[in-house]
Amino acid sequence: MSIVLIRIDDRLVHGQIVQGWLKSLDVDTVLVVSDSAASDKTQQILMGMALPSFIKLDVKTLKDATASLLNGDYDKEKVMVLVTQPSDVVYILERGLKIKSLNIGGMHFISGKKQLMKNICVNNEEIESLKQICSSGIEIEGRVLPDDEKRDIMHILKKEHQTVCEADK
Amino acid sequence: MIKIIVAAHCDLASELVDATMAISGKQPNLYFVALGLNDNLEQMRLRILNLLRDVSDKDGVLVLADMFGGTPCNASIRACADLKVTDLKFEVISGVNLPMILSAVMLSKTDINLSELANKVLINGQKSIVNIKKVLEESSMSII
Repeated sequence: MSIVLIRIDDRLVHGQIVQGWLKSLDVDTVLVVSDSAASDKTQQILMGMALPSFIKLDVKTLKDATASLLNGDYDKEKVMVLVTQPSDVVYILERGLKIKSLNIGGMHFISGKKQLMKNICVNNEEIESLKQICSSGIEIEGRVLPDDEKRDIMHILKKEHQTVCEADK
Repeated sequence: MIKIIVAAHCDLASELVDATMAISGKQPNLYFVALGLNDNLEQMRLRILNLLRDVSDKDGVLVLADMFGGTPCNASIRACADLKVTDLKFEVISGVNLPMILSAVMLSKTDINLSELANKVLINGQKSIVNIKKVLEESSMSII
């Protein structure tokens, strides 16, 4: 399996991916995992236009992408996997994919979420998914751009949790 | 390393630099000069001149100004001309947009000389201006 990077980024293919990550990583395929993008022709065309011509773009539903990854369809490629939310990663892991590290770069604010770092906000459901991912021994690192410092998301969450408890007292 | 200076009206220069860094990370060779509402050509020229003196090195400087004929552009040309006697290599391109700055910072990390860089940044800037609806229609992928 040759996953160069697996990243949670709700903007999927955008400027930071094209100008930041793809310039610094050796990647030949971008696999976008999103049920809504898989049925949205417009989004697919626009993402394709944003990527350099030598990079292949695949847009698949969570189910199809998971099957392809497990089936070894990407074994000969250097692939960047983009998903929109932690529960998708849980789904993929539960079906047997092995990864060592998960990058989180874009979980934008929606009312009711709390902010962990710039560009990264989570709700309770997402926190539970992250805990599940972490319990399989996977590093969860928050990093918007490749040259940024890696931040340990679980560590930030623990600190956050403590502050919540202290406020309760 | 070639230095890149964005020169523009009001907060446009700093905001363009901020947007560049939001997309591509910190860039050690990227600077900006702003023309305030109350600044005249001479103040702008001196500001650019000082920056050019501070940052210039043997590889040269690429100035990206916002508008041909505008004061940031005129002041940049004058400031660069003032430093001509010091053998400073410079290029000035007008009509700066975000893809031009991104292209300039990325290419400046490669083995490229100043005039090649200026040529490529100009071409990439022009290529980045696209009538998207028309392009999609021409490729029969009409979506709008």
